[in-house]
Amino acid sequence: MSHKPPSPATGEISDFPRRGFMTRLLALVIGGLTGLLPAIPAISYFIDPLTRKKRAVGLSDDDMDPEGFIKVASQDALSEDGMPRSFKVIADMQDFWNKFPDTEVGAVYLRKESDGQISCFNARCPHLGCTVKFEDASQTYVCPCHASAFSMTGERTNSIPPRNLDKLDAEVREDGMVWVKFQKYRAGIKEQVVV
Amino acid sequence: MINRLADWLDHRTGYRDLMREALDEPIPGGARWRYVWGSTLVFTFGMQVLTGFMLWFAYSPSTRTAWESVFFIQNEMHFGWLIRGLHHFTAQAMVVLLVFHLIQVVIDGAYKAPREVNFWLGLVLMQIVLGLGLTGYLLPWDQKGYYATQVSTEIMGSTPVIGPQLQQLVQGGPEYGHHTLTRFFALHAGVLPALLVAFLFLHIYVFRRHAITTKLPHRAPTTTFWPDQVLRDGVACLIVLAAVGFLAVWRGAELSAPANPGEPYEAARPEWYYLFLFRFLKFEWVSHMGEVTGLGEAFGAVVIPGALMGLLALMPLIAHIKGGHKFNVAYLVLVIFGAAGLTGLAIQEDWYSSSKDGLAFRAAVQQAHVDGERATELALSPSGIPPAGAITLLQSDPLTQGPKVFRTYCADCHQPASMAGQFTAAAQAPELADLTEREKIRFADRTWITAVLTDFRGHFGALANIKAETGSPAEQEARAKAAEAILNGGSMADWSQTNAEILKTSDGGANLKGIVEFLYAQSGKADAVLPDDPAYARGREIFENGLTLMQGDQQVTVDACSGCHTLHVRGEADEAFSGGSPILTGYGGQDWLRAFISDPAAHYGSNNAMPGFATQLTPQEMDMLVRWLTGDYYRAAMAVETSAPAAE
Repeated sequence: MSHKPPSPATGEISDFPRRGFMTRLLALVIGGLTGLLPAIPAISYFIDPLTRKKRAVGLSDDDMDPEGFIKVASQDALSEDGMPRSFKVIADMQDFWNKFPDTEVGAVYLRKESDGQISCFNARCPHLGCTVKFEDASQTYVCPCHASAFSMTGERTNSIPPRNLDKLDAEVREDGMVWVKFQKYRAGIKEQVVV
Repeated sequence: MINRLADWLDHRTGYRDLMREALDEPIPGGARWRYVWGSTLVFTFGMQVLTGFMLWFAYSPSTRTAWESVFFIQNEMHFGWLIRGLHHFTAQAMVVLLVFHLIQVVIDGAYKAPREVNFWLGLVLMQIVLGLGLTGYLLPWDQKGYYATQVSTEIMGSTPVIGPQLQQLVQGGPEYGHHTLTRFFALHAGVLPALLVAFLFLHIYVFRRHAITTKLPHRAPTTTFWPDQVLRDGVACLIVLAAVGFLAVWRGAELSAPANPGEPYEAARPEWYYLFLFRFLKFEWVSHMGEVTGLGEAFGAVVIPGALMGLLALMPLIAHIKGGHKFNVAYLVLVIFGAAGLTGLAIQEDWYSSSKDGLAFRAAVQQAHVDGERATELALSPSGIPPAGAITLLQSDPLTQGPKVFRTYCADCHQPASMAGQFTAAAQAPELADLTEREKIRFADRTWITAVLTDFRGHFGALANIKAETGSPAEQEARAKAAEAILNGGSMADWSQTNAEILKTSDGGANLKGIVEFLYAQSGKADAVLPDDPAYARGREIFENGLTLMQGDQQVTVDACSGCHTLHVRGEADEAFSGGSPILTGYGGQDWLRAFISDPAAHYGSNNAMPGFATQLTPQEMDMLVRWLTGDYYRAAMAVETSAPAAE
């Protein structure tokens, strides 16, 4: 803008060129400063989600044991025939300014394997985050969004999802309950990265 | 390269013509400081758009999330306090700049033909800005905004004929609720800004069509908007920015306690630029005229301001009459002085007058600050804001509610020293707590126990004011008799008189300290000593067996407390003293205090001059009072202590 040629309309003004230049420079600097200053806090405020230290949303720590396990279901509720069953994960949820006690925060599939071990998958599809459903007839997990499919043991059976279903640590404790280390992983990438 | 790109763009958009049109506007008589007001208004509006969009990113309009989301902006988000402060003060700056702009336009005669339409467009813009201020004030859903806006919508509702319908349309229902906020928010962030942009566009378009009004076109050579006027405008905008920035950092935008229809807010006032109207409505003659004309509140709040505004709108027509311009200037000056005078009067009465109302207002503002800060403190506590909303934070906070219960039921007899002169009768019982220094509880602290032991008559001296006048009810008579007995015939009064010196002087006061610590520990308070403390052990021994010691050649004895008092020592399974009443089991603790307030006679036996409150206080009130008096409430410092080790 400062190198714009003088307009013909201003021909009658007998301004000293030097003064005209200083005025232009000052007008630009002061005008620019005034416009840009308010943007600084605004940008810092806008990128708050990226720079915040304290997590504002997610499971709150109170419900978890020190290793991060949450009580999900009674072991008696698992299917005896080795088929997976879906369970809601219920925990305290920090949602910015609120803390919601005992609210549904996600879903997992639990399955009793032949050797008595419990296997657990996060029901969130690793492709793009929809919730997968187990189909009894074909014995596969299918995602209703983009047809990602996984075997009963969680391996992907087509190349739509970038990785297998996310396996979660699960164990039966003395109280007869299945405890799960419930975690969400980023979707759409090959690696397992905790959200 | 850049030039070629610019040519390419100009060829397709013609932006250079637009720039030239915008920047090379000729200004006959040269650039002047008095032309800056319009630009500062555009700049402040830009600020409001920027900060307003930022707030919008985090604001949630509902009665259970509005205060909460604003709290989060204010206390948790980076520069949230600054963004909100800038938005708050820039809004007020806009009103001030509007008035300056109007004054300049009128004095320079810029409203006259052929610029009438632009003047009217300007007046419309003024209404929009005032509407933005009004709708924005409610959005934080705090006590301050809630009660101030109540007044505005009630005024609206008092408009003849269409009032109730109008009020319901604005509120979204017969009362305030979720939709009041969604509607105010839609107006504040959507409808009004869109209208403002549209009218601003027209305003600038018509302004450019007629060019600037110059009183002295030959005062200096003609110049152009860029760069001479832009520099002045830029400097003016920078000054405005500095001013609102300073205010935002220095004062900040307050967030008072969450709106609560059940909690009166005695500091209710509109935003300062509406104070003139507020004060105008307080004149009795205004209300009287409203009654006479059948217009009610609408007379003072709608008709009169409307008429004044109407006359303002007629200015361009009045200017045609001879002397009309002078009349217009005089009228504007008069209106502005009138409004300023009323504003000054309102401020004087509220903040500087020592009248009862002024003092009450300032006390209410003080209380509002305290409540607002407390609500924030509780919201920041580890338990956070429950799903039922922040309104519950103060409702279940002993530090906030305890003093209120105390003021209603207890303070007339147990008068706080800081409230001297506010009661009709003299105090009838010892001071227990202060309502302004709420954390400092005198009741059952170490000083209190010491005074009971060593200066019983002085400590309970106020009981002498319990008098049975002729014709008093039987209950009053019984209390007066009991008070007399406690002070003059009571064995504790005698014990205290006999033993005070001995306790204070023997063993450097260690015996006194022992009993005090032992008794204090019965409350179970956190700062009490543990039973293995030597003072505790000594106190327990004196309580059980009394004290025998030599003073000079004389043997003196202090009678054991257990001779008269029943006490089941805290933390001891079977050891119990059963001397009688007053019962000291758990003395000063919550259970003891609760039982005591409910039915003092059960604790004190016949030695009681205090009425029972079991039927007067609700369980909730009792809980708040007892927990406050025993210090059982959340403290921010406490959270720091407990969270520090966890962070390691």
